[in-house]
This record gives sequence, C-alpha cells and structure tokens, in this order.
Amino acid sequence: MLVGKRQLPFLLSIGLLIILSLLYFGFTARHLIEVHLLSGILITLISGLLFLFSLINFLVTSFIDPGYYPINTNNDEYEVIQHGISKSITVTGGATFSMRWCDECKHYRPPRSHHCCVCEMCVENFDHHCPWVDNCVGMKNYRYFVLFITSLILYILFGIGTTIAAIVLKRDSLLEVIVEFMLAIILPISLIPILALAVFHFYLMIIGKTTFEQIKSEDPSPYNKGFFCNLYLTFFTPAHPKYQKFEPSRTVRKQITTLERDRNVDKVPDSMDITCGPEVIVRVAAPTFNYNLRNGSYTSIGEKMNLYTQMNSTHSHTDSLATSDI
Amino acid sequence: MATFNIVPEHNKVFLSRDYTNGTACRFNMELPTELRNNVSESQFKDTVKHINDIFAEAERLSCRSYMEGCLGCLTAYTIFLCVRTHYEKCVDRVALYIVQQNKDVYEPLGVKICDPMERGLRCIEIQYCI
Repeated sequence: MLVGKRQLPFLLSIGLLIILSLLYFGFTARHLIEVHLLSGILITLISGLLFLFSLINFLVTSFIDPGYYPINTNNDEYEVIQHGISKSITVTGGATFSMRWCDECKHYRPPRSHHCCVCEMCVENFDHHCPWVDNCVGMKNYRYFVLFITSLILYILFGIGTTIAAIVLKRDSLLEVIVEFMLAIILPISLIPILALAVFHFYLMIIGKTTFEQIKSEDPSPYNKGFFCNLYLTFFTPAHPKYQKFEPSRTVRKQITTLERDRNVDKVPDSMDITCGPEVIVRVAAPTFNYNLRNGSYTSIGEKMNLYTQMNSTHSHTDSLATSDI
Repeated sequence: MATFNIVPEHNKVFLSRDYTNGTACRFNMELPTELRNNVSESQFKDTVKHINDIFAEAERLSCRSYMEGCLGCLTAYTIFLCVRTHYEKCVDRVALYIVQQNKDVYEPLGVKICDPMERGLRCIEIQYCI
C-alpha cells in the first residue's frame, strides 16, 4: 500500500487505537492486577479480547474488497437508442428505478450502487467512503464495519470503567496517576463521535437504508424488510465473492479446460472458402468461438452470395456486399 | 481470381438482472429479440432458470450461511482465505454449467453465453453470429 495523504486518517486511527491500548494495558490493567490478581487478570482478558476483536474487524473492513464492480474496458454496454444516459427498470414493490450510465466504469449503475470518487470504482450497496479505514464501506464489508464500531464502543466503555476503578484504588507512582487520568479524559472524548456513528448506523439498519441513500433522499427504501430481518441480513446474508480477479476453484478450472479440449477435437477450420461465381472466392474467417459451419449461417452466406453474383456477375457488387451486408 | 476476406462480427446482447424481487442475484428469463433466430425460447428459459436457481441457492438464508458467518468471525476471518464459501462454490457451478451448455447447445447455434462474474453479476454477456 502506498502511503500518501489519503492514508493519513487511516494511520492516525490505527495508531490511536494501538497507542491507547498499550497505555491501557501497560498502566491500568497492570495496576489492577497488582491490586487484585484474579479480577485484574479477568479484566485484562476481557479487554484484550475486545481489543483483538475490534482490531481484526478494523483491518478486515479496510483491506477487504467492499464490492467493486469491475470496470467495463470493452465499453460495449451503452444502449444509445433504447436507454441512453439512464435505463429505467422495475425494482421491488413495482417501483421504478433509473440506472444511470457511469462514464468512468462504462456500465449502468445497478440499484443501491454508487461511484466512489476516491476509489474511482462503482461499489455495490455503497454506504460511504470511510477515510478512517481508507476504504469504501459497501456490500461486502458493511457487517465488519458495524462489528468494528460496536466492539470498539464496548471496548472503550470497558476501558473507561476500569480506568476509573483504577484511579479510585490507591496507587504508588506519579506516572501511573498521570497516564490513568489522561486515559480517563481521552477515552470519553473519543467515545462521543463513535457512539453517534453507531447510533446512526443502527437507525439506518432499522429503516433498511444505506448512508448514501439516507443523505440522498428522505423517502423510505423499497429494500426495507423490517428491523430484525435487516439486522440478520446485514450480518448473515451470504455476500457475493469479489468480482475483480475472481477465479473458479482449481477443480472447476480443470473441468472447464477438459470440456474446452474436448470441444477443440472437432474444431471447425479457421476459415472457409465459398466460391461465388467463377472468379470470386469469399474467405470467411471462423469466429473465435466454435461455430458449426455445417448448419450455421455460413452456408446461407454462400447461397446469398451465389445468388447475388449470378444476378449481377460483376465484382464490384460482390465487393460492396462483402463489406456491407455481412 | 479475386479473394475477399470476411471476419464475421460478434454481436453482443446483454441479459439484464431482474430486480423485481429485491437485490438478490436473478436474471431476466426473457429471450432477447436478437437471439430469436438462433435459439428457441423454451431452451433459453431453461438455461437461465437453472442459472437463477443456483444463485437462489447461493443467496438463501440458511443454517449454512449462519454457520459460515459465525465460523468466520471466530477464526478472525482467516477461514475465508483457505475455504471457499458456499456462494463461491455456487458461482463455480454456474461457470461450469455455462461452459457445458455452450458446448452442448449454444455454440452449434452460433451463440455463446459468457460467465456473469466477468461483469460483476450485473448482466450476462451473450455473443452471437448473425
């Protein structure tokens, strides 16, 4: 990963998480173990698990593919006559949705997706681009994002509680006092924005919308399935595998190659010559995929040409036919 | 003797997604008008229905998807690095099914169906010869 201006918030957030945790385990937890061994160890264990859980979810959120749609390099999906810049389709509950043409990705944006201008890709079920995790939050990592903020809140709350307990209990060194007081001030301050974020996201789960949809319009979402169902779907819906660089499993790849090899045994010739009249040969190249020349339209091409040359018996007409009609 | 070279053009048609039942992966079963000459409607419908059935199975909320989520969480998501998820297996099945169908049915008719994963499950690309 290239470290640039974009990665600064990410480094800041992960640095803050690790440094504060180190201070907490180095001072508060150690102090509590010294005061009472068993409860101190229990507290360290619980907070350690919460720390690990939030750190893992944080890393997963930031490094996983959020659901990028591959960019259509062929640029062949634009339907000038039928749809133009936006394509109207019917979605759940009979509502109409107009899929906008994405000029960067060269495809019609599916419902609930959005083009992220930081990642420069369209993201499935786009929620928002989070600078703190330096990634988009979308279809595939929304659950990890929610798990991260939830576990982080529990971790901070637990940290605040135990730090206050440690302050109340008697202590010996001045450094310990300073660090514990610092933690007791910094942790509640950092809790406020995260708590607001979590409340907002749980509210969004209740109404079944993404952050982007909520910002764009106040109308209820047609994809809302009720609070419990939304919650269940958020965490347990089987997510699509990443679209970019997706490869079938080795066994399936092997089976596909076997099938293709079988197919190539009776592969048609690369080209076929059709004699049209006495002096003209039309050489038709085979398509890249196997195409049965015997009952395909190649015969009809030949018939058409024969007819044409018989009717006109001049080369110029055949020439124009060859280039324009086929 | 004059020789003309013709390279037949591959026309493409895109089978779009069907969003009428939500954002679950499903494709329109209607036969595109461009393919009317090559493929019979019932044959095409059967193929797309089979693809849709595999995706429906992949997206179904079941004990399996629940267990997969929990197991992933417990193993710090490292399990997804070494074990293929149910969805990925289903996508593999779709890829294999399409290759088989192409070989047996569609290519002799001058039609080739492509793997929907190439376009992020947004649509299925179908190539055909006129």
